[in-house]
Amino acid sequence: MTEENTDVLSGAFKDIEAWNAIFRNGTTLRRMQENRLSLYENFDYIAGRAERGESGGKEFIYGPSSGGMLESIRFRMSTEGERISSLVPEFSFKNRSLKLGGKDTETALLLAERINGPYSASYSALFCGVAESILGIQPSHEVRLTRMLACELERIACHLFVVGRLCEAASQSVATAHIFGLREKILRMISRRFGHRFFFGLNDIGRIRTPVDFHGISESVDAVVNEFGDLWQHLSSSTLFIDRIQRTCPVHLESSVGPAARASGYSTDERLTEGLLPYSDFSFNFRKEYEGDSLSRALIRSHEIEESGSIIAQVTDQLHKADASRPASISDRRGEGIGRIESPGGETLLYLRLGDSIERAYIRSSSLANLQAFVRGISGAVFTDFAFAWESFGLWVCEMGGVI
Amino acid sequence: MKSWVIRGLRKGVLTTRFPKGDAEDVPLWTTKPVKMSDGEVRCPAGAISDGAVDMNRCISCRRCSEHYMPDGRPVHSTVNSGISIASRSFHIYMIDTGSCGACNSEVHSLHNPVYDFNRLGMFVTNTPRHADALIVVGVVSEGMEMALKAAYEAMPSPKIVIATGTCSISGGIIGKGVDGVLPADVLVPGCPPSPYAILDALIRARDAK
Repeated sequence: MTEENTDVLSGAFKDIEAWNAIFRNGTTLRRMQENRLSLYENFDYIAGRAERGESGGKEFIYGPSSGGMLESIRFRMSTEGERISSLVPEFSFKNRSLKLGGKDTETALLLAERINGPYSASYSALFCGVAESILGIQPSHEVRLTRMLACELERIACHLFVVGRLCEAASQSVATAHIFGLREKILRMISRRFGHRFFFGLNDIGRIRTPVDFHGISESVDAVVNEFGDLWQHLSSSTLFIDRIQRTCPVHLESSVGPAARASGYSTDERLTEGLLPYSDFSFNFRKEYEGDSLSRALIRSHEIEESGSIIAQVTDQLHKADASRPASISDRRGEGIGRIESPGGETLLYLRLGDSIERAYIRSSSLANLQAFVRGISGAVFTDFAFAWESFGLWVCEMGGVI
Repeated sequence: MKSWVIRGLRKGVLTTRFPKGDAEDVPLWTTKPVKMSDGEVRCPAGAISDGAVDMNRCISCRRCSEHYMPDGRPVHSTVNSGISIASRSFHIYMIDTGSCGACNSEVHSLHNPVYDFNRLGMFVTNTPRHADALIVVGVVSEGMEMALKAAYEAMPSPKIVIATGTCSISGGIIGKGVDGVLPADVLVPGCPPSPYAILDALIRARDAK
């Protein structure tokens, strides 16, 4: 078991009057005073209070609805000429106020997989995993492998999307078309095998809801991974592309997660810990970069596309056909649990307390954890860097709203 | 530069023949579930009533899968009123009023070389002031209601509103839909609707008399 690291605050939420903190790798809640928590520099971000800040100076306001952004978010940028001296993100415009509290696990699962549609496999596997551990349900090895497979396919699709958006921002139209073409191939393959392009409705507590045929998945993924490798090599020789993303938005922040953290030299990856899914039964290469800039984040993602392909090949060797099993009988056990999963954006944390229904839920998404890194990295950049910086983090506003 | 051209030529044409040809690889669980056997079904979205499925409410959750199976046929949108501008290009503006990101991603897919909606004279515009159609994705959150109304007001007439996805049409299981805030001229069912469903809706809305 990896040791709890109390230097890094992973999550914090308030229950009535008291604050609960969860530290990196920690498996228990710690009661803490707000003044002690506020000593952690990421506290305001993970508590969802980063919108309160003042940008200072002459403000340029962008959003909440704008043609350049895929989702609704408003940025208040303090500018000096074309330089962004500071930025305050306002991400709650589209907040859907998702409430898991008071719901039964069946309904809460539906909401959990819609916190972030493109990360649906990760969120539903996380929710099911934590609920199963509280309820004392042990899903079969086959079910856990199917969830792992779905998460890795999701990772490839999402990483391709981020790299494609980065190319789009850098006006690399031909490369953009090639990469989005590859992503479409993956989404269609997911759709054919799993019945839905975003895995909605696949996971259920203790089981997989509908049958899956794994035949040919590895070959299709291999073809996409190889073609992407070739494209990436080609793209890397484009000075136009590299010049735009190299040394753009450099940041080193220990509380960041996922590809953003690994691009800054931090060794964090939930797949390397004894987590909810059996990653330890398989081998894959772990890679870090050290510059912390947009190029490093893209390099990490390109590497991870290849590694996910390798994991998928190993997993599908053990899987042939997953039949939908009968629903698990939900016991009346009560309790609480903390779980983590490595979504495509990085470590995603869930705390769940179950009584007759869900009494309390808290989710700290990877996008919320990385938002501070973006805000810090963008200061000092010029306006034209904004798109390269934002896209390189692969942030999703939909998962920043928090869940109670 | 030359190598990109050669790479493109080697790859050949990826673009679908749709709408002249059939839609390929339609996601099974975005098509209409059909009753196969009797039994109790608890549809969390209230989409099933007397054995019939209302696709404007269906959220692709598969909770009905023991007694219902999707028919695999693409679901068509409902066009209450369209915009007849066949003689010129059709510009759309997407506004996210509270989505999970999946609908945004599917609308974005219309740009990719497989769907390539520019070939049909359709384009994304970066401001509602130049838009013929407003694509609304997600439930209408409190924070985005004013921005949604402002975007609609900024559009020149004639203009239409395309409610894209179950959240936008009916609110699904999360919140309220666009109805009651703006008149929805076109309803594109699905959670999320496939790019084909969105493309089909755009074509039918543009060509409606």
